[in-house]
Amino acid sequence: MKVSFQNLSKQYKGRYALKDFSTEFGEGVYGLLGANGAGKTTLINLFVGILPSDGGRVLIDGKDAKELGSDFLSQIGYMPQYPIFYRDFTVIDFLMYMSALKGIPAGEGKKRALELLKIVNLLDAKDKKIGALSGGMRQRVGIVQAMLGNPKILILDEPTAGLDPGERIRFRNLISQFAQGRTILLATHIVSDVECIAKEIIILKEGILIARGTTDSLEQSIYGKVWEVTASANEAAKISNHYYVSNMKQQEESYLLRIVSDTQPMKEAKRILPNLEDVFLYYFGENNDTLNMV
Amino acid sequence: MIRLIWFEFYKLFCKRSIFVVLLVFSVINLFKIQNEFKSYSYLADNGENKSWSSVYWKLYEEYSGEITMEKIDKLLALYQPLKEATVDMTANTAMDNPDTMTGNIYSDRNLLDKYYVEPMEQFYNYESLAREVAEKARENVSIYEEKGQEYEVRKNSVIYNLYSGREISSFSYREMYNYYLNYDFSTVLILLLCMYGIVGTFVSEKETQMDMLILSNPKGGKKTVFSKIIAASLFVVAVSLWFSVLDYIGFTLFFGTTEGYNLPIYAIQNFCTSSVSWSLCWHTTVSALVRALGAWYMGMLLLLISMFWRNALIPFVSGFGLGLCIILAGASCSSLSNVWMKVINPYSLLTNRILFGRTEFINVAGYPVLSYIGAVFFAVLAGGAIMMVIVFLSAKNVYCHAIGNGRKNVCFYIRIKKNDAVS
Repeated sequence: MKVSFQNLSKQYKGRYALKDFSTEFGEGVYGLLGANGAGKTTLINLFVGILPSDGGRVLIDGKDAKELGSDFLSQIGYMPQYPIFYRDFTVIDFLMYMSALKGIPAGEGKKRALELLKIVNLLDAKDKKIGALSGGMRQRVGIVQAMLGNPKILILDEPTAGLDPGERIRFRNLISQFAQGRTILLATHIVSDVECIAKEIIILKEGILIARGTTDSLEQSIYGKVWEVTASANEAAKISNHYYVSNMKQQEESYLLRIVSDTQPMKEAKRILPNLEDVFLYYFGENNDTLNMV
Repeated sequence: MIRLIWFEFYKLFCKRSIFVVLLVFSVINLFKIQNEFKSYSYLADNGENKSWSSVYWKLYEEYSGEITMEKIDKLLALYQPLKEATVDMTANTAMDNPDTMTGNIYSDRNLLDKYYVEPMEQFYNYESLAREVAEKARENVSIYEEKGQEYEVRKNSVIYNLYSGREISSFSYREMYNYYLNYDFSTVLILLLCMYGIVGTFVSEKETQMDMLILSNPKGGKKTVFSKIIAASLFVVAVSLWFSVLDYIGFTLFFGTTEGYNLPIYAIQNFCTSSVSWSLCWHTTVSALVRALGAWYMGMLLLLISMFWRNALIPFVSGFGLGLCIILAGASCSSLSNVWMKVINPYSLLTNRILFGRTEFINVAGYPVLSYIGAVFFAVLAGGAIMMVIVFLSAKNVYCHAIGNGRKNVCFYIRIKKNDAVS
């Protein structure tokens, strides 16, 4: 299945939340990376039809998604940001409700829900109230509901927000497990979420697509712009004020700084290989207070 | 669709808090009914041999049933001496007088006066009063025909048909129905419970951020909204019917009888000019259904108010304010001659004696329509229109409504603006 976005735009109060967004996705996991307010959720809301666009269109295998109507919706599975769901529902009741919303017959829906709960290791919790689940368990319920209709496109909006490192790793592995034969769009501002599992990464900034590529190609794109230098505490503070520092590590009485800069920041600075966090900092440097380099 | 309706009902109303409130309100209602009985009925002195209650039911065996001249004569033969003996207020005031039925001569007279003489007199005279009204209406028909006033001709024809042949041929106990038909407290409880239940219908989805997830599903748009409306309607109708049944059970339980169920509704004092002629038993059923319709109409108004907000507090407060305004407007216009005000107000349906207690008409295109029929039709139309507005204003998925793609989605934009959900 090929998903194409053609000049998709959305404005709020005259300000573009998404501007002329055009790209294509095939099968595999695609990371949608951007700082808070970059337009990720707007893009997803436009994609799943929650918001009407101000321009542009979405094509599925060359056909306008609007022409497909609700058939298109049955091909997508969506997991929203910070799902709370219904605290008084048991897991299985909630999944049965979601089956009804997706138009899946009751028997089939229950069978599919139990299969998926087994995959995500939640079968024992099927009769627990959602309000009694941990954040990680709730996220897993979230992905199960998205997968109920066996969708060809899975859209995950900040799926690991608020999870501890262990749960985050488990969740990433689940995404990889579900990726076969599907298009997965994973929106996040957490670099490590997409670094390992994404086939390609799309970087959004202020509603505009500014870069797209594999992790390697994106890192390659800033090759020669990442530097390492050892500095005293005073010098480290001065360097932080003038350059984008992606990492600062204390070494006895000095600091080892990782700097992202187009030019060599100082004579002693050594050129090193960039990573995805450096790429992120390179593109979002001016609002790096919003970064979350986990 | 039925699955969706069930899930919506289960989600919104099968909550412990709602069951607790329902239980508490039911208990309060029963206490209130018991209090009505103890405070207002002279037959609440149950137990002793000479209590009003026991004397009343002993006499009832003799006087209940078809009203005959023999029964009237017998009753007057018992009552007249008591009346004469007490008219100058100099009779014996002893409370244990063995020559009396209740232990006191004044008490005997009052009992007979209140529970036998007065109602039997009213029942007996009703036929001639109704005949007079019918005759007057027939005269009016002739007068207005000459004047060419078609509406008045039609109206008086309806009055003639309504009142001709009216009579109360048998005597029966009516006190319980008198209090039952004038009991309003449970209406307030219905309104409060409906408010509490309904306010969360749309708000709870926004609070849990499920609105967006629901909308991204094939049946998440119009069908879900419609399911919510149906579930909310079922809830208010169920609550209203429950309290109607509870009221009836409470009254029959505390008054200890269902006697009088076959009396015509105009046998009750403030229904003597009623626009209907059916029995009290039938009226109990119709009244419960009309009250449920009023609750549904009110529920749709509350639902419409609640759909614009993100948390439950504001719609609850505004719903409470609306309820209060409707009650005050309904209560203040119940004695006015402006019938349209009664017809459009859901309070009239909730406490429907305003509509059934008097023969009043509204002029619809030159045709007189009885106020209760007008109110029922208006509630159905207004409630249906509100339902359509709710469906129209609720968020929709772009892909399911490709034709109306250019249309702005009011509710969703309100929410987005409030949320600043640009990211």
